[in-house]
Amino acid sequence: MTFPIKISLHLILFFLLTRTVIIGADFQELMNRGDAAFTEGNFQQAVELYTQILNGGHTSAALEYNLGNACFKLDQVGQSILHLERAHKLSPRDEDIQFNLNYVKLYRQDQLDLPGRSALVEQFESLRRYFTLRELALAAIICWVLLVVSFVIFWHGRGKRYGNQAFYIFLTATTMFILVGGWSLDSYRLDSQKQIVVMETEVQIHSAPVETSKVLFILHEGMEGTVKSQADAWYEIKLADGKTGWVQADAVAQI
Amino acid sequence: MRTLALILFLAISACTTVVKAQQPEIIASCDVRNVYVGDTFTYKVEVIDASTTPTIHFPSTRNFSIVNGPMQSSRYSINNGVQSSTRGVSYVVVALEAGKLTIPPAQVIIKNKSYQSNAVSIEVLPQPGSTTGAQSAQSKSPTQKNNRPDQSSRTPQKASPELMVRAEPNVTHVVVGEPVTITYKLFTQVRVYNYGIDKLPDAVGFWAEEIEQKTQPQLKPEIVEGVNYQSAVLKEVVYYPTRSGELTIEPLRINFEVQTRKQRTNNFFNDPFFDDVFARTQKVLFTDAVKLRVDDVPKPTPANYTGAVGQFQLAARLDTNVVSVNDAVGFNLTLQGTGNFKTLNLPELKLPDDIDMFKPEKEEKINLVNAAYRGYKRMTYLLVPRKAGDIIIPPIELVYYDSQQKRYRTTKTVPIQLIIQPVSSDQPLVTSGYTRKEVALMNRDLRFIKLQSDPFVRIGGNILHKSWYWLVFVAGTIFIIGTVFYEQRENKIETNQALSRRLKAFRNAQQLIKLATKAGSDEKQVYFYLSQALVGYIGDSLNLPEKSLVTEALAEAVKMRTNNEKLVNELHALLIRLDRGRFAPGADESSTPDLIRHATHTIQQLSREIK
Repeated sequence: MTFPIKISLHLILFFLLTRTVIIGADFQELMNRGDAAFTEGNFQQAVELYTQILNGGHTSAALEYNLGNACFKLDQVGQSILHLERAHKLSPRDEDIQFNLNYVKLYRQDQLDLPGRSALVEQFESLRRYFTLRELALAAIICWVLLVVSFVIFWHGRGKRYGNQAFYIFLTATTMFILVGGWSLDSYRLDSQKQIVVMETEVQIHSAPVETSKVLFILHEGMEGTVKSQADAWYEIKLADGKTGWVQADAVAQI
Repeated sequence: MRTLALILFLAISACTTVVKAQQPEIIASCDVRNVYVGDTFTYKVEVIDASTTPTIHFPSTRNFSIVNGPMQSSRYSINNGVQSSTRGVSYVVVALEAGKLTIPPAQVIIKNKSYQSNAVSIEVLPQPGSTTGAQSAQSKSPTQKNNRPDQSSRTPQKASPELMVRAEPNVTHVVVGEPVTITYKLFTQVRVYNYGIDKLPDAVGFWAEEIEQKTQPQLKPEIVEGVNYQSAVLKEVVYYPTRSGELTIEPLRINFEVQTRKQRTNNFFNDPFFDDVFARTQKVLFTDAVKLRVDDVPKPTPANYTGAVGQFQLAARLDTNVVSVNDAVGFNLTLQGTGNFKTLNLPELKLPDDIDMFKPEKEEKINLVNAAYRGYKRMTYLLVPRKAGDIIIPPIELVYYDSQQKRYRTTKTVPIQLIIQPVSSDQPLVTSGYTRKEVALMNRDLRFIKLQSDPFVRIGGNILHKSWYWLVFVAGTIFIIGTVFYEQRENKIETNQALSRRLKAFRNAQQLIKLATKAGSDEKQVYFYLSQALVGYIGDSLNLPEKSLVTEALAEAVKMRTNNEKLVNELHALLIRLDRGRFAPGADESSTPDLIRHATHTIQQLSREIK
């Protein structure tokens, strides 16, 4: 029964691994040199080496994490938060990343007064981000394959013993597929929300996407927000405490 | 003679009773027993059961002066069916001299008859040292010109401001740690709509705590230096001096919105009916700065003095005096009394190592009573003895400075005995995990970088945007639909003989022709296979029964399905040829490959014609 599923699993794994191995060979060397520079305390060089990999169009949680750490050592809080947030997004369950992100956030100038949330909501939110979109999408496809295979077996063996057994697997797989699929869509929605980090030491948030409009408030380096809309070179951002305003796009970086 | 005397006595006594009944009861009283020089009080003369309003003359005296009055008042009440009325006059009076003074009887004229009230004695004390600081807040702000009367001149006739605020400390001389309550009061003669206090005044050397006002400020009539005011407590703040010396609490700034009368104009339309004659005006007032003398607690301070000032009593209690090993027992330590509870910590409990002590639960109930904190603080420890034996919990001490007796005192608990009984051996011994200390965090820093990289991925790569991902779903869907259709078809074939035969007809015929080709040299075999193929094909295609598979019947059946005469004739001829060839080999001169080609062609033609 599980034979076809195993095959599909193996196929998917093989597919993914071969890809990453081919890419990884090119960048592992740069990464190792960056790590060595960091260990020696040569943070500027480490940042340059890490950035080369990023410029090559590739990334990894460890790379973003190391780069975030190096930026923090160079007192670039904004850059550091940006890269640590990216690392967190790539590997949401990594404790080191979470720890350093929280630690670096202590160094920003702005502190938001957030309303307290109940432990249940907090738990739910963290569970929601427990898996990456990639993991959820792969789980969904595995569920799908299981669903298809068990359906075929069930349909073929209707009225027979193995057919009935396959039906229960089919039901389970369907439930799982709906759950995991829904979760991946939610994760996709979360992922597609544009998040930004303030990159400049001090940036003015305007009431309209015009230079001459009223300045609503001022944000400092490292502050994060969600992009609500976009107009030319301006973002309408929303802070965690609900404040909204327009910021020039070149003053912020997208996570 | 004796009778006469008796009659006379009776008559006189009757007479006096009558006179007494007619004489109204007149009572003069003061609202206070003692006042300071310059302070005002109310002097009241009341006539009980007076039918008309009496005329009352204030007694002439040089020691007192009327500030306000006379104010008429009358009360009428029915009590148990007996009606009584009281009419009176009250004056606001100021004492001008110190000493035990007497207000002479007042003259009361009722219906052209003159009566006298009683005399009232009152003790007038000399003015004590100025309690409110001499520093005038007037220099601080030009806006509070009218905020308070000049302290130096206490003549009641002086024009007083309509609105003023005062800071009134309950004491002015304290020791470090002893609370001082300052009451901020408003005195007003005008209507106050609103007020606001931005922040507590600066008080260097104090720890301030505001007392929550339970209700909105209530206005009460009060006379200040001979002037009638409505007063209200706006705020009460308790200040704890944290160091000694002459300390100053800066003036408190209060904003008011008050009613003021508008200037009347001669405008016809400015009729009071249509226009508000009153306006709202903003006013900013300052209280005086309050100066306090704060003394240090006397030196030398006892070694274990922790800053408690007041009167305290320490008590300790165990839930039970007999306990088994590993059983929990509660220990209460209660500090009760009056004093600076808020800044006070209970002494710590020190116990032998054999007893585990859990973090105590704290409980406190402290109320402000007469400008002093009164109540208790309690800590409940949970003790778990780990070893059998008798233990004496040592006395716990608290040294405090008694602010009334002006000396240090110590309150201590009595030693308490705790008997710990051994536990039976079959009960597992619980080892405590609570005595271990947490790993102390010395410093915080970033965690180190990751030297093992996880696989690199393409930036911005999203699995949901990959075509292969969705192809898996499409393929799966097709697979499912395909399965359903395939199974359905299989089902149909199984249940339908005719269809089954027809579907297999061509394949079977092809196989037989193949066999015929293989059997190339053996003519008899070739004829046999070809005949089988042709007959079988037609029989299967048209679902003919076995017995009708004879040349004539086959040709007839085909003829019914097609109007191609030529094909039927050809078929008929071919079948006869094949039959003949089978049973009489050598009779047919045509070669076997030709014959096979011919048969194949015929079957193909048939498949086109009869389907």
